[in-house]
Formats: sequence, C-alpha cells, structure tokens
Amino acid sequence: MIVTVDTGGKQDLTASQIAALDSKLRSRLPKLLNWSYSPLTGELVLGFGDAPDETQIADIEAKAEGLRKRVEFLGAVREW
Amino acid sequence: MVRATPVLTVRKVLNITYQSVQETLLGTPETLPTSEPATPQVGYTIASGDLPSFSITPYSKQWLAYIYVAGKFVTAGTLSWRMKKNGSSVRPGTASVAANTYYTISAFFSNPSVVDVLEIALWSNQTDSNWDYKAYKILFNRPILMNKPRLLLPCNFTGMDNRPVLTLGNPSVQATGVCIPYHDNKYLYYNFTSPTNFTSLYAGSTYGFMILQYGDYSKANDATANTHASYRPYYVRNAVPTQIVMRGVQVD
Repeated sequence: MIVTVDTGGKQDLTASQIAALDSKLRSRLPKLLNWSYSPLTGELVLGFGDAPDETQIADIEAKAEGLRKRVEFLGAVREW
Repeated sequence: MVRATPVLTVRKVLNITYQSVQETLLGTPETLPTSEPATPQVGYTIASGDLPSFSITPYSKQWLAYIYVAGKFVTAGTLSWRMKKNGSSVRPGTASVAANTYYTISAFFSNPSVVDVLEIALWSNQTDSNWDYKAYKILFNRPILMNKPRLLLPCNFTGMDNRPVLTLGNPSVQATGVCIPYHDNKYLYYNFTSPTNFTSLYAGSTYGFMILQYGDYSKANDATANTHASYRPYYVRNAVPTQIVMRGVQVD
C-alpha cells in the first residue's frame, strides 16, 4: 500500500535532513517500510508493503490532517 | 441535410522494438558509504541508441527510463538513496532492510531526453551493506502517432510484452505495471497487460492514447525499494506494447 501526502513544501533535503525525517516518520508510523520525497512536487510517498491496511490510512489521516492524500493498492488508486 | 465525409488513413501498423536491457553484476560487491557520496555509484547517460525504434515515426512520444540498483544488507538497517538528473536532486528516499537481506531499488525517471545524465546515490546507516547490481532500460510513453487525425478507429494493441527482463544475479519480478489507455486526455478507469482492442481512442495532447503505470501514472520520478531473502534483483517492470494497429479518422 502506497500513501501519498502533499506536504505543501518544495524544498530539497540534505542527507542529514533525510536522516532526521526518516527517524521522525518511523517513530510515528511503525509499519512504514520505505518513503520518498519529491522536492519538485512536495509529495511525500509512504510505502507500507503490498497489503491494503485501512488502519494505516486512518492513522495517517489523523497525523496529516488537512493534507491531500492518495492511496494506491497495486495500481488501484483512491484520492480524497 | 449535409453529411460530413470522414477522411480515413490507411491501416497503420506501429511496431515497437525495445533495445536490450543494460545489466551489470559486479564480481565483487562494493561497500555502501555511511553518508551520501558526492559521486553517485550508478549513472547512465541516455544515448540515442538506447531508445526504442519504430516502424512508423510517431508524431510525439515521451521516454521513461527504468534504472535498477541492488545489493545486500548484512546487518539490519536503513538504506538511503537519491535520484539525480543532470546533477540535480530529483527525489530522495529511504527503506528499512532486514539482516542478511537483498534490496532492489526500481527507479523511474519520467520524460528524460537524450544526453540526460540519470544517477542514483546510495548510502546506509550500517558499515557492512553493499551494492553489486545495476541495470537500465528505456521504454516509451504517451504516444501520439499522427498530429492529424488524432482519432484512432480502431486502436488495437496487438502485441504486448513485459519489460525489462532482467537476467543477471538471481532475478525475480516483484510487480508488473499495467498499460493505461487514455481517451482525449481522460483516464478511462481501465488497464491491460495483454493484447487488447479498442474501438476508438483519441490521442490527447498531454497523455497521447496510452501511458505506462510505473514512471507515469504511479511513481513518476520516484523509486520503490523491495527486499527479499534470496532474490536480487527483485524488481518492478511494466507491460508495454510491441505492436499497435490503428487507423486515423478525421471529420471536418
């Protein structure tokens, strides 16, 4: 399951900022496997493996209040 | 009543020939640094000889560059990477990798051009992680066969295949992306991986009449990291057309 969050920012990350963000994301989202961030679009893409997990979506919704989100299950996309 | 007379083109057969994937398996794995390297470990410069060739030159199309990097973590840790295009950061990311596990990064660069330099830098928070595999392939995307007419009647994807096919290391496919038809720049909520006929498709200026899932619909200028206990590379590929049969129609 891939969850995309629009952070609203478009700033490139240094290696130390990547490490800091990685630590923060993994402490808040224990099931997070991988993530990437686009300095071109401001999108933060969160990867949780292959299985859809509604509890993760609810958790991210709660922690990313107000940010545009997109969830993808192996090609099936839900946006809101 | 006045009737418009449609203008039909001859039946056109677009054959698409993809170049062989460029693969390298290092004889000796290279240890990953524990901080971001100034010079990325993996880089490819797009050459004209890397591009797919066509039996009919399309009026317009885009390229997608798929780059793969794989290696192994001995100690569990975090793999970090940065995709770069012509020296500029495109997208950084991280993935957690378990102990004694292989990782594979499948990176998708959207709409690159010939002579663009595409790179991936890797580093780890562990001192005993390595990389030893890389690969590169160019696919095509968002085709518009003719400027006028744009309405294709029919548009039959008569040849389909999955690309790339990686052979070195101990490869396995983690996921295969789909082809997505577009009609007048509209997403049709439909996709396919095998030969499929469409009564009509209109090639819009933005999306053409088809896009690929990985590198465009999903993971545009992004990468995905997959891990496996024994497969390396464990990679993401996409279904691609190898032959499209169509006829253009214009109504004035």
